[in-house]
Amino acid sequence: MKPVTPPKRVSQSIDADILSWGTVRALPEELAHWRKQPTPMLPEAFSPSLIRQSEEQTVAALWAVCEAAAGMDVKADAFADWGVIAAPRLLGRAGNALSFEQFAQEGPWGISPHAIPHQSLHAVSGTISQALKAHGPNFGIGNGPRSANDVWLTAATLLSEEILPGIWLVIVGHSDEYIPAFDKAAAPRVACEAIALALAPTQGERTGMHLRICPEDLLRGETPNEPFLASLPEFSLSSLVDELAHRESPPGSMWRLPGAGWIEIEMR
Amino acid sequence: MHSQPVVMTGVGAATPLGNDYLTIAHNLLNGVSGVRRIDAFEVKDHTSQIAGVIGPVPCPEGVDADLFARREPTEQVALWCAAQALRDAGLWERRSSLRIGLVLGVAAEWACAWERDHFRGGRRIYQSEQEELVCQRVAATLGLAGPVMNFSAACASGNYAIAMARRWVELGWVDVCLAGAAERALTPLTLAGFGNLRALSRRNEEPQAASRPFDQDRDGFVMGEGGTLFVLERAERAKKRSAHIYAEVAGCGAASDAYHMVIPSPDPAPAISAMRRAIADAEIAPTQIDYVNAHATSTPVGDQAEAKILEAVFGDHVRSVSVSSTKSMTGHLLTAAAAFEALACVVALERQTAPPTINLHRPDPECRLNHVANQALERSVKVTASNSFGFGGSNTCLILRAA
Repeated sequence: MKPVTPPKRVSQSIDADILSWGTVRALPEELAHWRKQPTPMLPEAFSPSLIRQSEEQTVAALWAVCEAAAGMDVKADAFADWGVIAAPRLLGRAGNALSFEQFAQEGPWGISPHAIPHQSLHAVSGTISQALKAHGPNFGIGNGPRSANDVWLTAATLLSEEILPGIWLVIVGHSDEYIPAFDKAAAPRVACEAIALALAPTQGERTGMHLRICPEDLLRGETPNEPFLASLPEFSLSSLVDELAHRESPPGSMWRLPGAGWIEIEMR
Repeated sequence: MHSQPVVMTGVGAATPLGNDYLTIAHNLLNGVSGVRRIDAFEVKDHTSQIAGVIGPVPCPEGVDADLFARREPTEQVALWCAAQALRDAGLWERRSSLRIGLVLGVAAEWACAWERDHFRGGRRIYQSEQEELVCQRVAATLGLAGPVMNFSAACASGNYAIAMARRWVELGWVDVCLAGAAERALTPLTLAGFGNLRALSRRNEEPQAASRPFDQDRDGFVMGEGGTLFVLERAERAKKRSAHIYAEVAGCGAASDAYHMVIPSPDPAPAISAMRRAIADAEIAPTQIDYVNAHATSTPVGDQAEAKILEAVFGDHVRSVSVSSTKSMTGHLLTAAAAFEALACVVALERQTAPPTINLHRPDPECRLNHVANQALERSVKVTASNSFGFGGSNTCLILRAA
């Protein structure tokens, strides 16, 4: 990507160290396999039954977290006080389509008791917090076709409070829109991609990957540097997965968050 | 910890107890139940056939009636609440000149939209989804220029929304911020899902007696629907423009069970931690809390667990602090529960009266609390605490302080 120079003056930025990251881009059969045999596993193992009823996006998201945790030298209770924020995209679509069929065939009795807990917006963050045994706040963000930006604003809000020792930031979605098959047609074979960032408050001279969230557009009186902002690509999950998939060549990238400033990921 | 106080200056709500603050306050303090037999769809094959229902939501003044009528029910609730809150705060006419943010808790937006379309004979779920989120459409309809966010922590969403909005105000990302939650998830599949979890009351022959938190004869929660949104702004700003101040957002605390997607943790530590963090955030002692709006949903296990949590947090003060669960009157508004229960706390602060837990005729001996049983209690209320413990293990507590 062509280097872009950020403006010299940034009126407000929220910074975090990226202690580790994990990326996943997997087809349905790969997710199905991982669901039964999760690997790598977290420092404190979880049972595969945790994700038995989960949607594909939840499985992919947890897989990305496991990949990230595998890159950290941590004890089993390392994330006990961490928060988890997760941004899926149109979560629950497959499960809902199945529920329509079940209801048509069996009425209320046919609806799985697992449907609501595993198809609601907070299902991804809730499942990850259980797997990690993370007792900080956990909630789901966005879930719209184009709402991945919201998770950066949320992360910035939590980081600004300087209360949590760390936050797992997870973004997940299908690479192409997942549209359930109608009337017994073959299920769509769409890859699911996810990124998990282990974020911690910046500590002075720590080297490594670094995140900067600059909510420039939100500050009254600021005149956003229009040429600079216009030069940035708009953030997308796919582009971030592409950038961070290569652990040996860390990226230095910036993305525009429409209406909310920009983010920078760089190696220090 | 918080350099400048943030206060609530406007409220909008659509609930089983009414669609305006005065009506809701009256019904809350008079122990009115909003629980009815469900008549929006066939329920004869459902184990639970009752709910806290809201009627048709009025179209807000200034919003196109045809547009409003075409919108999904959850969006109608959110629009009504947002518009009403802004008018209540005296900011409706000025909204285009302010950076107004919106933090909205909605958990089942797509599921409900797809389901309603399905039962109308549509195939929306099998087509490319082009709609934006409810929060974005509401912001666009009302012309809000600040940041907008949708999120969910299940039943705890409203408390998180208020905490998030408070922070946005403190950071200067918004001039004022709308915060709360909305959910109209009373649908055949949702009713069936909760029913098959065996979580719902089956007292179908006595709808208004079904939601009975802390009572020995409770048998599960009653679903409800609705929404509540508040306007939050800096106290200094509110006073400068002579706005009516309902309450100060004094403290917020949160912690997750990390245990199970539905069953609360048998370890009360995370919920206790959430309450203690909120109390610390408010920089008060537990003994300064006068009224607790309990999460208590009328489930056998959950209500007992919360009683133990309150005993742990308050110690001897648990005999003095008034406790009630307004879910006894509204049912469980799910994602919208915490936001509405913050409103109940606002009523307690404004009216110096704690709302009751109705249907509390045989208190569970395992729930040894200072219940406000069946009738509202006039008393000094300067500080309130509202607990919301959501599915997925999200435990939150919101502390409000009298203005």
